[in-house]
Amino acid sequence: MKKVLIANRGEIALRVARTCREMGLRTVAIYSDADRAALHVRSCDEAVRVGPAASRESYLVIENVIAACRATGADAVHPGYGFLSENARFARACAEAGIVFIGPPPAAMEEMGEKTRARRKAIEAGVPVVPGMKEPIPPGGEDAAKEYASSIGYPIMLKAAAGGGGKGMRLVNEPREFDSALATAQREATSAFGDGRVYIEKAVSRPRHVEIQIFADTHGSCIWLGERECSVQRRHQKVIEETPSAIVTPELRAEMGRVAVNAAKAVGYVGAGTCEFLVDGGTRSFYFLEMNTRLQVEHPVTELCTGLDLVRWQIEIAQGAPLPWTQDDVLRNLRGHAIEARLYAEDPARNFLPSPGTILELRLAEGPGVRNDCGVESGSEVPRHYDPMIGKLAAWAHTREEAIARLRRALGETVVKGITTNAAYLKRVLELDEFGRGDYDTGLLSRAQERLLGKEVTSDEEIALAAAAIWQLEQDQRAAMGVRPAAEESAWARAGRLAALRGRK
Amino acid sequence: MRYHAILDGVERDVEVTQRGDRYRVVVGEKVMEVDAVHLQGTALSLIIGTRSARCDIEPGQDGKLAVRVGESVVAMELLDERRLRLRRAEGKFTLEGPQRIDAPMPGKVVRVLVKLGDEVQEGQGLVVVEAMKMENELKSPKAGKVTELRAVEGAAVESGAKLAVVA
Repeated sequence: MKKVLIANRGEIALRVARTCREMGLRTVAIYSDADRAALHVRSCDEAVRVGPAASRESYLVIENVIAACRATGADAVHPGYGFLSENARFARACAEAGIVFIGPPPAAMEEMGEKTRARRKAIEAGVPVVPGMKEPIPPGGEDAAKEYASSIGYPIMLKAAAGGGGKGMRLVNEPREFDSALATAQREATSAFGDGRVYIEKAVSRPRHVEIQIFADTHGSCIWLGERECSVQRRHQKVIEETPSAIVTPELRAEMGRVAVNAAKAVGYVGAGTCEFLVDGGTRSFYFLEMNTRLQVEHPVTELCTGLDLVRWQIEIAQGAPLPWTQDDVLRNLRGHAIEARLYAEDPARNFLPSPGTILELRLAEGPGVRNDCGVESGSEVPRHYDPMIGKLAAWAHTREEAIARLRRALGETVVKGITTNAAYLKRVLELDEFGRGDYDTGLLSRAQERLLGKEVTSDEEIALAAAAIWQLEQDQRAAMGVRPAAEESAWARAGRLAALRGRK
Repeated sequence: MRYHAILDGVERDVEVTQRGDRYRVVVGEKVMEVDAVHLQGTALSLIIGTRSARCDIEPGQDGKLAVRVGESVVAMELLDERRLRLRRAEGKFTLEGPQRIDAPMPGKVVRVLVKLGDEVQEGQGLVVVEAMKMENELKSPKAGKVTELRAVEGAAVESGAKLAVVA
């Protein structure tokens, strides 16, 4: 392997490119018209355009990505997460073109990638699952599906058969919400995965979302690398993830790890994968949800507590190397506590509306125990066409308490000008009592909504007023002298340069 | 120079006088002697007594500012005398009369849920706009009749584009 095409954009493309560079591998970026000026394009050795802004016409077009490999002579593809990462047809197309797909074999992706098949497989392997449909809703099967929903009892979940990441997922509390929720879930699933099929699962009340990272090689070995708790979710999108989980004991960890490894072995899995479970916070019994056959967004917390580079492992295993660690090595090396927060371009005060636009200035946190995985920089444009996540901020410390304090501090250092982000909201989530105690479930954010969105109390209001007045006075004086305000000038100049780069005025 | 700040609907007067590198700022009863350094872009370093504050100004539209002091952000409108008079003349925001429903962000209209002339309830969904793969339903701010409908399914819209009017 000499040259890796990274079939993704944003922070994960940068993340993969960094490891490739460390391993002496050349990198190829792909980009849509909306991403010509994006940071990931500049962070790779080569770059190839794959189509217009809409991901369905660019990042999701298998033929274009394969053509980009051919044009650059890339001998491997890293799919990142999202886009084509769980598309078995893409993995097969790579194999047929003689390109190494850095991920599991297509057959394992098909078994696990489609959620309903994965559930059937889990049931066969004796893994407990949440009650639900064994097949996606067929075309014209809406009425039967509605009857099925009533038969297992509301509330129910609608989930995309092809997907993850909360896209195409809807909680339905009562029958009269069913039709519109189904239509929305199908449309979102089509838009995100190019596959609109959805299925029904019974909704478990106050569940905790705990997932197990596994790794398998081509020599039949498979190990787990601990859990990640991802119960801090908004609209089924993970917001904050941590490891270890506050409710997972060493015994439960070993048991869940064993089940996850069995599930992976049952489908002949190879590479990095994640088994997601719902855990009942009271009884601590757990149910298999799905397996994600790719690297997860939240993999950095596992890296922080194991000291590993999971992308390096993926690349080595894709080249046939055996797993460098045994299960005992994992147990010996797990240490400390890590938490990650996802930075979204959205406005919590306006019902979390996406906030695309140009980032005028970006200041990232530094200092002990802090890790940034960011896909943008000062001057970057956040296009409206893609996921609003612009980066991830993670912190590691020896104890959970210190890790929370550290991440809180790091979020306070993070400044993004020009667009609105959820940074302040994330800080307030970390300050919630329930979160501090580790006593929370997937309903935490909606229950704490009022506390999280209430007016910020600050003792520095007068200092803010002084700063504003001094700044405004300077602006007014410059204006009186016929000088354009500095801030305005640089903002317009940057916007102009970006527009010119994209070739539109 | 005297400015009028509006913080969360509350008006506060701020008077600032420059004396070389230093400023005297009066907010209500409080008098602050401020050593201020203008840094590149929109950043300021203030020292008041021995209190050191890292400040960032994020200018928005129509005099709106977000002022960051350390980790806290204070949203305000800062107006001079002339703009304050204009603002007062506009009167209070009200839901009486026709209400415009604008696109809150750039995106694509994926569904139009009403027809021109429809009677709608307060909170009823009017238009669904998709941006960044999430759908956002825009609801009617009041009960009334759809008197104007600009939203077209499948059309791209810019932030602030008029989608409908409910009167």
